[in-house]
Parts: sequence; structure tokens; C-alpha cells
Amino acid sequence: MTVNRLNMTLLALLLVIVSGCMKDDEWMSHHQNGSLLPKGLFILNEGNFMYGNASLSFYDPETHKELNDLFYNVNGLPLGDVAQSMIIRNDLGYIVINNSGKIYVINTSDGKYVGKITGLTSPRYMHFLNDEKAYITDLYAGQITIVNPKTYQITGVILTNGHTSTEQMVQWNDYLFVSCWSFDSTILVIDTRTDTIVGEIKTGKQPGGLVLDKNNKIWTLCDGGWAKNGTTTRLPMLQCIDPATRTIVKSFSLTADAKPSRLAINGNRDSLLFINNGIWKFGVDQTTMGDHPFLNVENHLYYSLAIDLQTSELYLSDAIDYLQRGIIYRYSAMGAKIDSFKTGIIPGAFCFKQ
Amino acid sequence: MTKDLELQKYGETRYCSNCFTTIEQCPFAITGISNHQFKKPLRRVGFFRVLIASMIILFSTEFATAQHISDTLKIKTVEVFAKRIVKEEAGKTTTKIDSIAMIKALTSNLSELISQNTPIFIKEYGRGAMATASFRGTAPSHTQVSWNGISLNSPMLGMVDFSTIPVYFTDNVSLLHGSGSISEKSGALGGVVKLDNSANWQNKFSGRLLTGIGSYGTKDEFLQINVGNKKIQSQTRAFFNYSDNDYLFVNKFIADIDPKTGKYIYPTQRNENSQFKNYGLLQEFYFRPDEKNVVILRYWYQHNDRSLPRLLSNETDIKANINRQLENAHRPVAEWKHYGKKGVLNLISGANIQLLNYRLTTKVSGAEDQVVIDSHSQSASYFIKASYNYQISNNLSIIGGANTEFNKVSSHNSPKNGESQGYDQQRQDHSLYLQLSKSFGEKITANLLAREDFIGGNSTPLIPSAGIEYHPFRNTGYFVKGNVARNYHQPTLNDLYYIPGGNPDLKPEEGLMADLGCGYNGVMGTTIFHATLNGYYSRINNWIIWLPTPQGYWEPYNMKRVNASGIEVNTGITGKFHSVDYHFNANYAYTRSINHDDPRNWADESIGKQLPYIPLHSANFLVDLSRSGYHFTWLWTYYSERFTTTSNDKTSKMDVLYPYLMNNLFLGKELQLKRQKIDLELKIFNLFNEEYRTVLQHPMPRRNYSLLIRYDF
Repeated sequence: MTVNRLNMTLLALLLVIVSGCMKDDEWMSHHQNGSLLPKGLFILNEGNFMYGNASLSFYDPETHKELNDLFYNVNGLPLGDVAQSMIIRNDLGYIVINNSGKIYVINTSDGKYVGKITGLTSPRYMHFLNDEKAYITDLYAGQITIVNPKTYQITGVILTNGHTSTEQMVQWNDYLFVSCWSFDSTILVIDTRTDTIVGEIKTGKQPGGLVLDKNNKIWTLCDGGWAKNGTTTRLPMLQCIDPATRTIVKSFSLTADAKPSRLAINGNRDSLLFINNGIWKFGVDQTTMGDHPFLNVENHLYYSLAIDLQTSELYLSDAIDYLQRGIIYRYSAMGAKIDSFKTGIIPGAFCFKQ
Repeated sequence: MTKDLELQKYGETRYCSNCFTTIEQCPFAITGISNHQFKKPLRRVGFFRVLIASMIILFSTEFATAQHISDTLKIKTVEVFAKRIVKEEAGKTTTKIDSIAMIKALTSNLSELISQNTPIFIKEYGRGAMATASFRGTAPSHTQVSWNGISLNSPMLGMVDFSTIPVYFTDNVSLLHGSGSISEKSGALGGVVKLDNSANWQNKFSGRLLTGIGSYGTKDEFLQINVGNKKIQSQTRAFFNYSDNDYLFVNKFIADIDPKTGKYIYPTQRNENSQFKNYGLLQEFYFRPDEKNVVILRYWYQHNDRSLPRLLSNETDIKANINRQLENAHRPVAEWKHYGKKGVLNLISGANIQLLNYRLTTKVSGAEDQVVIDSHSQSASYFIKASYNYQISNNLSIIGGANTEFNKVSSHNSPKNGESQGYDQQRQDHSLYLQLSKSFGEKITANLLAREDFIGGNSTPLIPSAGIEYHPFRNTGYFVKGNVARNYHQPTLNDLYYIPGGNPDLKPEEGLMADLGCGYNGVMGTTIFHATLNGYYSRINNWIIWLPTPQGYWEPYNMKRVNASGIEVNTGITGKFHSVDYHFNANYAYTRSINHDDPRNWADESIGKQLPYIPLHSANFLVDLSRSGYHFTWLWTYYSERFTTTSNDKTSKMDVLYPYLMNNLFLGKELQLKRQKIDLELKIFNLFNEEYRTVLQHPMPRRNYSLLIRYDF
């Protein structure tokens, strides 16, 4: 081997190497025409925090067919970082992208992106008061943002008196009840006519979900936070609030190691459901918390749930290891498995399209 | 200087004839330990000069620190160079970053040096942002970084942010691959990155001044002053580095809809809130009261101030979610080396204290700033290490060592409107080890090592390691080597106690590792060549991984097993072609890091798949050419595609990161004055002006420049 020949070989090698280039533009070229979406279920896949790989799926309960990566396939744009919740109003779907600080507005007939509300901090949920006014809660802003969903403009804010995190909302007459979840134990009462806070209700630690039952009582699920240095005892609980008196009327404690999440109510508004390893069912007139879940955990790691208010069918998500496409199980109202299908990374929120 | 040791003069600096280090750096030179002597006198001084000079700049493999390696020249008239193996290093795979690469990366941080010159994969979150290492397909906490004997890994996080270590502050960087790291410490399932400093005892007054400006408001300043005599040397270094880091990019991850045409308008954005400012000071004192003792005192202070860049899909209020990370590190180390007649005693005592503050602030109109996260953490590790290397005979030695370290972490988050939460924990760990090394004739050397760790007072199973090295032909540079070991990596204090999520029931990670390598080192005329090929296989049980939970926070858990295996190739050549001095160095690594966990359920598709973000292929290439003071350097780095999911999905563009190809080009001119040197260098980063991302949604800068003036005196 001579040095000369070696040099020539190396030079040839260099030329081959230089020819490479990276393919950052593939995003833009990806546009497809969306097909018309039937009645069905939108599924928001959160994606991993700081990965920006949230996605939108759609499931047709008639044909048992799912469409994944719908938003990206139709629009050639990623959905964003941590898709949190979705709400439909007048054929438009409002998708709250928590860690992207925005709400994407899509046409629910084909998934096409028609607009966005940007400039938010860490939005969580959206609640419509009318066609031209909605509230958006926020994990970090310490305020509720008022928007005009038609013009996508921010029209005002409601400062939350030192409560940084605002989470879920439920309306009773002209009053909106807002849970303050992260590190908090409060439910705020807002007069929607004046956009002012008119009351506070102290609850268990970290109230998350809020639902209104057939008796016009509000239920909240307090996940109990987490033990501090192993010294504080956790006290997760399900609590019932009378919105008229703004007081807690019933409390049902869960075990100290329970980590309950995802409170939901069925179509008749007489049964609560939530995840605590397995799926638990609780009749709103029940007087004690049962001992057994409605659906056993088996080998599932249930992450989220939703009830079809018309059929009372149950949709449960399992994120598997949270770093691959998760799976959705569909159960009948009686708890019999109907179907299962894969969607995207961490299927976390559902939205029914009528 | 001891007279009974043969020394070779090269220029003004005297070199140990066996170590290829300056005589001042060779610990054995003082006592003249027997295998540090010429086997045969040199025939041609001219050749020797080239060899020595080249060896110093080039030798990037099979070459660890001076304390442990001696190389015997065997130079015959055919001018074939062979490296005699040191029995203490038998079977271990080590790599040293050559000094050309070091000087080219002087203004960089360790992440760039490592990713451009070694097979280690660096996951970088943006220019100036966090960078973590994956060595041989392992997790960031499996790469241990030691600086002059103390660990830089945070006892809280387990890992090292390679972007915070300036190349300015280290003189030698070497890697101990896989099982070869056990003599250094346990727990390095990937390997150890060793950073060392040394003094030149011949120095009276010298130094270096460097100043640079670059794109995006970047400034680099560095000053080094070395003062001393044959008994005492002082080295002072200080650096300052600032960048606005506000590069422009077209954001194709968000779009506005043109109201007339309905077409997308992609905004051009600035990399906002990403400025960084780092500065530091390193003071070293070297004392040599007599020929048998060296005492070294070091203190390294550093301040880093920066923020983590936002994602491309981010459309929050410009004033919302502004994060700032402030870091202060103090690292004092004292070291005493005593050279006895037949052995070397080494005592090190030091500390690594890291103070970290992370704040996430949101400015809300009409209200006070919301401090959403205000997390303060202090981690402190205190070390005492003792070792004794005793040469029983020429071909048999024993090393005994004992280490103790005390780790303390206090980590608290006190958001303005929230409840404070956090933990305070401490742990005292001890380690004892014994190594027996023997050579069997001139061709075979072997060593056996056993280490016993006591973690928080509990003894862990024995960590054994065995290595063997074989040089089949006399006087040629061929070698074959192998090493097997067991290793344990303890959960970090965050793994155990972090709130929320910490899991006190975590088991330590247990690795079974095997290494096999072969290679060649040789000299032909004025050309020096080396090539090595290593294969490795590691089974790591109870691999710790943090995963999200339904409660919205992350929790660590033990995966059943990960198998990491691969091939590493390193080759280099240095020589002169007509009047051009050339130096080429290339690395290639094939890395399989496979998940062998128990499936979570029937739908789990992660089993048998490559772990996320670990490229199957990675390679880099360095070309350095110089002629009459003009120099040209080209650095090329490549990573194959990386999956972002455990299932290795490829259905969406978000599931994979396209292959990474990067070209950097440096051009310069060196002016040699009497005893001074001035070097002017233009650095072009991202030569082909690529638009790219290294993790999913972090934009990287397009082509950018830096102009540096270096003055050596």
C-alpha cells in the first residue's frame, strides 16, 4: 500500500460523503385531500411533552375504521406539543394544544385547518358561553382567557386571584365552576354575565374533573396530589358540591395510594366513571364507595376514558409505554369488549362528532 | 532530572522515551520504573522526531493516560513501530482524542468535540443548549465523566450535560469503552470520558490568548497563563463565552392561511430567548518538592446562564413560558502522587458542587409575573480516593484502591403561587478494588480486577473484570484483545426520591459486558497509521427508564433487560505528502440497543426494537492539511435516522428523525514568531447551509461563521 494510492482512495471517499444533505422540507410536501368524515369520534393523542408529536385520530363506530395522523395528513402541519382537549361548536372543532399555547380550529367534516387562536400560555380546556364568547383555562397563566371563537381573537381575561392553575369547567345557570388543579385545592365560581369571580369553594387536594349530574349537583375528583417527602398523607377523594349553596355536600375518600383520574358522567347523568387502575363506576345516589371496580385493570394501563352519551358505550385508552402508538378499547355499556384499535402517542382526550 | 533514565531531546521539550509524553508528564520518569526504558537505541533521530511529534498529535486509540500506559519503542532498521502493551491496560478498549482535534475544538464545548471525534452519539437540543451522551447505545447516566479523578456526573441526575464543559479547561480527553472502565469506576455501563490536565515542568512563563467573534452575536474570550519553575508551576485559565443566539429560520411547523389565496404562509422567526452566557476559571498549582512527590491543587469555577429553546410548534404569547437556567459549579481537587521505588501512591480528594436554578416565568398583562416553576437544586459530591500501584516484578503488578464518596442533594421547587415541594437526601458510597496484571512473555498480557461497592452502607455483588491482550508478531503493531466484566449502575437520587415520581424500590442496573478488539499501529517512512476494530456485547438488566404516568408526571421503573451491542472502527493516518502535512481520522460505530423488556400487554410493539434516539450508524471524519503555516480542517459528522418511538414506527414524519449530515470547515494561517505564535482562523459551521433539526422540534442554525485569533506565548 503506498501513501499515494491511499490518498486517492481517501479523496474518492470524501467526494461520496459530501454529496449528502438533510431532508427538512418533507413536512411541506405532505398535503392530502381529506375525505369526508362521518359521525364518529375524534381522539386526541397528546404526544410526548417537548417532542411536539401530538396527533389527531378519528374513529367511525359504524365501520370500525380509524384514521390516524389526520391533522398532519390533511394539513401538512404537525398538531403541536401535548394535545389537551377538544370541543366542537357549529361544525368547527377547537383543539387545545397545551404546550404550544394555541387552539387549532378545524372543519369537523374533513379535518381541514381553518384558523387558530394563538398567544395563550398553557391552555387546558375551552368552554363556550355562546357563539361569540368562550373561556379558556390555563395551567400557568393565573388567568382565564376570554376569546371570540369566530374571530379567533382574545377579548379579555379574568384574573384568578393567585390561583395559577385553572383546569376543567362546568356551567350551572349563569355560573361557571372552575377547578384549580395543580398544587391547588379550590373551585372558583365565575359569574359569566360579568366575567368576575364571585366565590371560591375549598375542596380536597388537586380537584381535576368536574361534571354536573341529573340532580344538578357538581362532582369533582380530587387526585390527592403527591406525598411530600413521604410525610404528608395523601387523601384522594370524590366530592359532591351543591352549586346553589357553593358548599361540599358529600365526600367519598379513596385509599391513600389511589391515583384517580378522568372523571366522566354517562348520558343519563346518573353514573360517574373514573380511572383508578381499573375503571370505577359510582352511582350519583350511592352512599358508599364500592370495593370493586366496574372493569378490572387486568394487564391494561388505562390512561383516559370517554362515554358515548347516546349509546353509553365506553372508550378506554391504554398508552402502553407512552412512547409508542397507544390503543383504544371500545366497550358496551355493560362492559363487554366491542373493538380495539391503535391511534397515536398517548391517546388522552376524546370528542364525539354527532 | 534522574540521570539513570534515558531521555530524548526533541526541540526544547524533553520527552520520556517510552510514554510519548513530555518527561514532566511521565510519572515514571522520576523513579525510572524499568519498563520505561529503551529496548534499543534509536537509529535515526529524524525519524524519531517525526514519530514522536506525530504520536503526540495523533495517537487516538489504545492510549490512555500517562499514569497507566507506557509504550516501548521497538525500532528496527525497517522502521516498523510496535507498541508494547502495558499489562495494567491489557484487554481494555481506550481512545484518546488527538491533539489536532483538541486544538480545533478549543472554543467548543465537550459535546462538539465528542460528537465530531469519537463514536459517542450526542443528543443536542439546540445551539448552546443541553447535550447528553449515548456511549455504546446506553443512556446518558451510563456515561461517566471524570475530571482529574473526580466524577462530574450529578448525583441528582446521574448524567453530565456535555454542553457545559469547555474544551479550554482540559488538556487530555480519553475514552474508556464499556468494560474497560471498571478500573476507573463502577456504573459506567457505556464507558468513561476522562478529562485530565497536566503541567509542563520546563515552563517558566507561557500562555495563550484567544479572542473570537462569530455569527449571532457570539463572543469567545480565553486566557491561559502558565508560570513556574522546576519545583512549582501555576496554570491559570479563564474563559468567557456569550451569544445572542438569535438566528433566523423559516418555521414550517406552523402556518398562517392567506385570506385571499388560502395558501400557507410560513413565518420567518428568530430563535428568541436563547442567549447564553458562560464563564469560568480554572486555577491549578503543581508542586514537586522532590523527585518522589507531586502535589496538585485545582479549583474550577463555572457559571452557565442560558435557556432551553422553544419548540417549533410553539405559538404561545411571546412573553409567556420564558425559561432560564442558571448553573454554578465549584470543583476543588487536591492530589498527591508519591513515586516509590517500586510503586506509585495516588491520593485524591475533591468535590463537585453544582447549584442549579430553573425558572419558568410568564408575564401576564395587568398582573405580576407568574413564576410557574422556581426550582433550586444543590448537588454536592465529596470524594476521597486512594490507590497504590505496586510493581512486584517487571511482569507482575498489583493495584489496590479504595474510594469513598458522599453525595448530597437538595432539590426544591417553590413556584410563586404554589406549594413548595422537593426532597433532601444524601448517600455515602464506598468502593474497594484490587487489580492484578501480568505479562506472559512479550506477546501476552492479562489482568484481573475485582471491585466491591458499598452503596449507602449496603454491599453490592462483586464486580469482576478480566482482560487479555495478545500481540501475535514480534516487532509489528498487530494486536488482539478481549475483556469481560460485570458492572452495576446505582439509581440516581432523583430516580429514588424525586417528587413526584421518585421510586425508592428501584433496583440497580446490572450489566454483563464483553469486548473483543483487534488492530494495527504502524509506521511506514514518515507515515503513521493506525486502525482498530472493536466488537462489544452488553446485557443490561433492570435498565432504568422514566415514563409518563396517567397522573401526568413521570416515574422511573426498571425495564427487564436491554441488550446493547455493536462495532466500533477507528482509523487514522498522519504523514507528509510533498510539502503538505496531512492528518486523517475516521470513526464509525454500528450500535444496536435493543429493548428486551416484558411486553406491557398484547399490543406492545416495543420488544426487540432499537431504543429511541439511538442511531444505528454513526460516523465522523476529520481531515487536517497544512502547508507553510496555512491550514485547512474539515469535519464531517453523520448519524443515521433515529426513532422517536419505542416501537420504531415509521408511519408519520414525527416518528423518525432523518439522517444527520454535518460539514464544518476551518481555514487559517499560523505565523511563527520567535517564541510566539499567532494563529488566525475562520470557522465555517454548517458549510452547506442545511436547514435541519437534531431533535424533533428544535431548529438549528444555518451556515454560520466564527473568526478566531489565537496568540501563544
